[in-house]
Amino acid sequence: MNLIELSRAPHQLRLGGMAPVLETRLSQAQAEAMAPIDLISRLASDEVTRRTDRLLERRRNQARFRDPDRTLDNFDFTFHPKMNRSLVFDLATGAFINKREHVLFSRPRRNRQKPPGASYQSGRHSARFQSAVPRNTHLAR
Amino acid sequence: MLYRETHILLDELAEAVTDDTRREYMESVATVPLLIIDDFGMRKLPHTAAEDLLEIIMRRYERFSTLLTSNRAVEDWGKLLGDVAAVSAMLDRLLHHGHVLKCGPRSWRTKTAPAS
Repeated sequence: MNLIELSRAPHQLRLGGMAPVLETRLSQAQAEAMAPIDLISRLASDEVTRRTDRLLERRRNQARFRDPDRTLDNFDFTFHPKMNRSLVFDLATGAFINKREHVLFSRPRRNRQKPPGASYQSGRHSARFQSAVPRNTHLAR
Repeated sequence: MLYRETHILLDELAEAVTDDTRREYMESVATVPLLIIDDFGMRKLPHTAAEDLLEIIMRRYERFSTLLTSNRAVEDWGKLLGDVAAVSAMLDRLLHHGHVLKCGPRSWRTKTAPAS
């Protein structure tokens, strides 16, 4: 297989991460007298990186965030100094998703009246509410 | 993961009803690993909002995570949706295995807005 055929092979094999860097990696391998396993390792790493990035990008697009480029790095915690920073960073790990837990971001409650339920205002969740909505089987599963 | 502002989520659900694809749409919303419902309470919602949101939360309860944001205090939700019982049931499920982050009354956006 010559260089031209070799450069086509990643496209034919749908190795989109390897294809654009193949020549660069070959040049690097020659310049650094790289061992074959190191060259293969670099190319495999390029492919994995590319696929991971594309997966993340695809999921980000599917989610359709309103501000997809906003990150915690530029979040100004001084604006809401009472905000629970520890909880924010805990949530940012995404661990709650695996635990199937829910998250509610809301304004603090006002003091003039009671909320429709009693349990959530105190942080205790022992009370159960009786819903007026019938618990149909397809809804309750 | 799915991110929708509340009114858009409900608009899409209403469109699905029109297209006779509500079951499929609801299934996709109910089974995504993380559903983010943003800006609850920002806009006037349709009269079916309480039932639709309750159905989504009920179907996701203990199965998948839901993140809901609102600039309204929870005691206003019953009035907002016009159904205190549905809101109670929804909050009950949201908070049973839930984290609550209080974000404060000040608006982040107005912080950087030019002075008039």
